[in-house]
Amino acid sequence: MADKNRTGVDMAIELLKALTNAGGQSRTSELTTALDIPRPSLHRISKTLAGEGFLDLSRGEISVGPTAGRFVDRRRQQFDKEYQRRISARGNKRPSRASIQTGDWQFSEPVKLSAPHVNSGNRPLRIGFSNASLSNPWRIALVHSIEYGAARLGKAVERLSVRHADDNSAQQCQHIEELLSEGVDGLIVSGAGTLQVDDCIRSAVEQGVTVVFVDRGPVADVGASSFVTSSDAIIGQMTALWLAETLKGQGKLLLLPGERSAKPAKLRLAEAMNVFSRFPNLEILDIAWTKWSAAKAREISTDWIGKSRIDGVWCDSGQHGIGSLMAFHDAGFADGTIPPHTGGDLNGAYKMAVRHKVPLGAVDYPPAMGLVAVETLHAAMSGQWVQKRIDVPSDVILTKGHATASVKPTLWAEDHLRWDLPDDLILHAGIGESYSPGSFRINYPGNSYNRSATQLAKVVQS
Amino acid sequence: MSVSGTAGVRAMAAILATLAEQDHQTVAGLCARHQIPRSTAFQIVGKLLSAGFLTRQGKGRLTLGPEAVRLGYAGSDLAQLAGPGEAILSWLRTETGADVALLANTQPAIRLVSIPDRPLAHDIEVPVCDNRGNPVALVQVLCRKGATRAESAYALHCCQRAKESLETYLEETGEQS
Repeated sequence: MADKNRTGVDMAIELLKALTNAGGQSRTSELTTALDIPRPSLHRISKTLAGEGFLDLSRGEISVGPTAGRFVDRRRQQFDKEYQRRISARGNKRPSRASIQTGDWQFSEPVKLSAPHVNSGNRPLRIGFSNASLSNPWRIALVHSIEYGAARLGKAVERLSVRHADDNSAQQCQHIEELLSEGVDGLIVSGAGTLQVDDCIRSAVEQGVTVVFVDRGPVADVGASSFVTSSDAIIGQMTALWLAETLKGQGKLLLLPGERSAKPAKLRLAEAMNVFSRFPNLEILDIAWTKWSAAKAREISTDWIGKSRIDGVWCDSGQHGIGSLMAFHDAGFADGTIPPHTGGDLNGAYKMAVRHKVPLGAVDYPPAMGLVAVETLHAAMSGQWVQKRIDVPSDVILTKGHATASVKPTLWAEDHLRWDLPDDLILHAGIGESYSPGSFRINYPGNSYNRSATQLAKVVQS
Repeated sequence: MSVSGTAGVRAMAAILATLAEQDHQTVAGLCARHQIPRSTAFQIVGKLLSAGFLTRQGKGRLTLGPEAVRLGYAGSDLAQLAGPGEAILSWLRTETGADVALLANTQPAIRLVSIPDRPLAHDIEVPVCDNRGNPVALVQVLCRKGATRAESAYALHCCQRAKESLETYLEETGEQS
């Protein structure tokens, strides 16, 4: 029995869908039966659609017309425009040249894809961001990048809700439940990396919510559309190789990885250790986890400076690398005598390396992945296929004069850093040239007084 | 059920035809252009959004949705490659910085996806084959000017990876069907 409230538009939509499913052509009699539309009504509707060229009508048969064919050309143009717009927003138009230098790309696997999750409602999207924590400047830049991405989508977004879980799985699960009860259509998750959070996400996916992970992925496959990150393997490999070659394969190293519980930090360290193992004359003095804290790294380096000669310091980020640089400076090392360091991201670390003539090698972990995560979620919910894993490209950044046989810069540190912006700026946030974390203001549906969710979190904490 | 008139269907056809010519239209713009009452236009656009014929972009602009593209490809075997092709080409372009295109291997070849949106004077071309080994599409790459030998080698590698990715997709969908 047909719905009495069914309008001509409803029937026209059903007719077009039926023709698509039938391969572009069908007999009129079959359509009247399948769609339960009276023959005179079908005739009137199809004649109207044929008038605009959507259908071709011949005796007893309906087929797709030439105007529908133009949808294909339009989509091709639209796709190119969307791509160019996305890339220009990220501010990085160069290819992913860091990946070219690693040399092990010959063995990479096919790119895996996720099928679209079309948002069936006609209202704008409700997006939730469940953030593992707000514990360091990089994570603040990530939130800013996500907020910027949501603001760029304008009226396509009804609301963006943000929750920070303080690296607590139970709290993150509670946040995800809250976001689901608020009726979010799509979730961006930077996960605490536990099975408990995986279970919460799996349940969200089962409820029809589209999920995109960013920065920190799930432990197992939970049915998320995508995981947006940047290659931790490249960060680990390139920085370790640069340090080993800078030291000509000899010397004493201090290894200062970030947060022990964070998967990116573990991956970077594992890749770095693989590289260092190829240089038998490198001695590793210590592997000390720093929680990406400059104060912690400063304390550890100060301690080791008093105990041993240090020829190089490997850090997976400048967030704490700056602490080690400070320790050497505090210990009276003159400009040009502080041993080579690795670790990028933080404007202050680059500034300090250049100011004190420290050889520095880095591959940034771009917070711009937040913006890419929003774009990916929106694309998946707009009916587009998306990559299961997206590695946001990054540069190989070296201080001038410090290229090695295998590691060449794609960007000089001197050209990358911003003397005019604060030390706590995380570079590669994708927010634009004038982005500064302290003065960041943004307007998107869901916030008020142009305040970022990071500011609100600070207010709550205090 | 009866149809009181075809005004709604006519308005719907006009909206879709306009978006086939020019995307990023607003509902207000469509109302003015076709003299459709505002409430009718919102109702029709709402139905087209729900059905996947339209999607909403920033600033309330409308563009064609996946159902419209599916309709455009109806009757052609190429439809299944277009969506995955977009995702793969987007990756290929980002990785290599090269101009990239995916063509259906028909006579004449049909350009399914390309960045930028124009025919390509390519320097790398690899065929994409179906489960039976028949070439159904072509991936083309034009390396950027001044590309180093390493970059060109990487572009070739990525092109092969794009081919394998699309073939894996065809294999999986072939198995499902």
